[in-house]
Amino acid sequence: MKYVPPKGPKRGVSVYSYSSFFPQGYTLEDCFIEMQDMGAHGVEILANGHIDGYPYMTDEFLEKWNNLCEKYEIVPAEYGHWVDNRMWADQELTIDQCVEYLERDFKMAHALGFHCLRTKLGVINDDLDPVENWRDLITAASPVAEKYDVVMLPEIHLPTLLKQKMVQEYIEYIDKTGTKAFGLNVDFGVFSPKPNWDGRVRFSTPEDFEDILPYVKCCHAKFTEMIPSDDEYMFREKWVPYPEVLDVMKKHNWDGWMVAEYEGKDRHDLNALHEALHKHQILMKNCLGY
Amino acid sequence: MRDQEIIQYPGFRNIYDDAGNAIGFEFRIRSNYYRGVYLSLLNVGRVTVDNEEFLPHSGAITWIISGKEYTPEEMARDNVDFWPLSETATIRVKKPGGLAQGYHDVSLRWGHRSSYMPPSMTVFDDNSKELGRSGDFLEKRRMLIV
Repeated sequence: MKYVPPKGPKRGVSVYSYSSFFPQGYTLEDCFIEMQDMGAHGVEILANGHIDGYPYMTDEFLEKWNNLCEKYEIVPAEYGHWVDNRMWADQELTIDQCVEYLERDFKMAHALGFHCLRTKLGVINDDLDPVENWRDLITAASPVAEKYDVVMLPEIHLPTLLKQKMVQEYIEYIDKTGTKAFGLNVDFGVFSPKPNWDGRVRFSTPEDFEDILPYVKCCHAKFTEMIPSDDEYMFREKWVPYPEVLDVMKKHNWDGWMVAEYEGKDRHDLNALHEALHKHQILMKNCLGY
Repeated sequence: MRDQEIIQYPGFRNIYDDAGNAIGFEFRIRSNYYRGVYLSLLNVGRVTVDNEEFLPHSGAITWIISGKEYTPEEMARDNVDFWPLSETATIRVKKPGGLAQGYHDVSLRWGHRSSYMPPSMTVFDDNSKELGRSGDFLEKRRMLIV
């Protein structure tokens, strides 16, 4: 029987969490087994890493995918892909070329059952500002995205914050165009007061999140350090205030997937990864009540 | 099942011409990234064996990906062919006579260009001893040749 997910914020896993192990022979099925154990039914794949035959998906992969999703009650939550605009050391892709690459992803995503796409745009500086022509690119790609019923979501990730100009510009674009093909993915790392790779400490609050929630279609439930907790949650994330963040989502009855992304220092140790994933799902389950 | 190390022990061997003369050697690497890449996104650096250096544009190095052999120059222009995450790449080096029986310290410099990272962080310079801040790698392994 096909698994039907409930409305509201839902738990999932990005197989990005298992990145260290794929080039050593780890498989999607290995991930799906553990996800089913944890009741984390939504999956994010990274297309360029996990689709056999990419960028031309094989028929065998599509069949395998459908069988695995059914067997392990997994729902396609988010399709991760990239706009590799700096394709050559000395030359960039034109907008038309970018759209050609995007259309291949849209087709595969649609065939695999994904609606949300984490579309990673090229950046131009250390503040991660997107390519200057992002509006033209999204405008050119939107009709194609609509044809395949997918929505492109740039990821809002530290050092970018939720109140930053870039996010406001994305929102203004969505409001102005009324597009259904563009939205936001929020990485929960934005709520972390941990010093970033550039040494800066800056973070957003759950209230900041509340203001942009209608534009958010999928979330990366980032975690780096699970610690025991004596309260009803059993575990906490040391840096991200999960109960407060998930309360905001519940309060507004936000409907979508939170896919777990583990970036702990010990993520290259498979046993440590399994433990961390389980603790994190226990925390989210205890926040949501399901 | 693969070696956890990036440079794979299986696949390290001399290569021979039809007359049976050793003309070089090769070894395999697995990806250390979380996605496969178009070949033009790869930066090919030098191979060093026991302090002997083979530079990327010397004509000595080729990479074999999905059964097809490429020079670094061909890879730099190729935005169609793709190195899948699930496959190893073979690095082939021309060296008349091949490598002698015994231990060898093999190292490889390479990287990838990621448009989603700040351009300042994705500089690749094979001539610089210092690695770039992102997508610039140096792997070494000591292995025996039979």
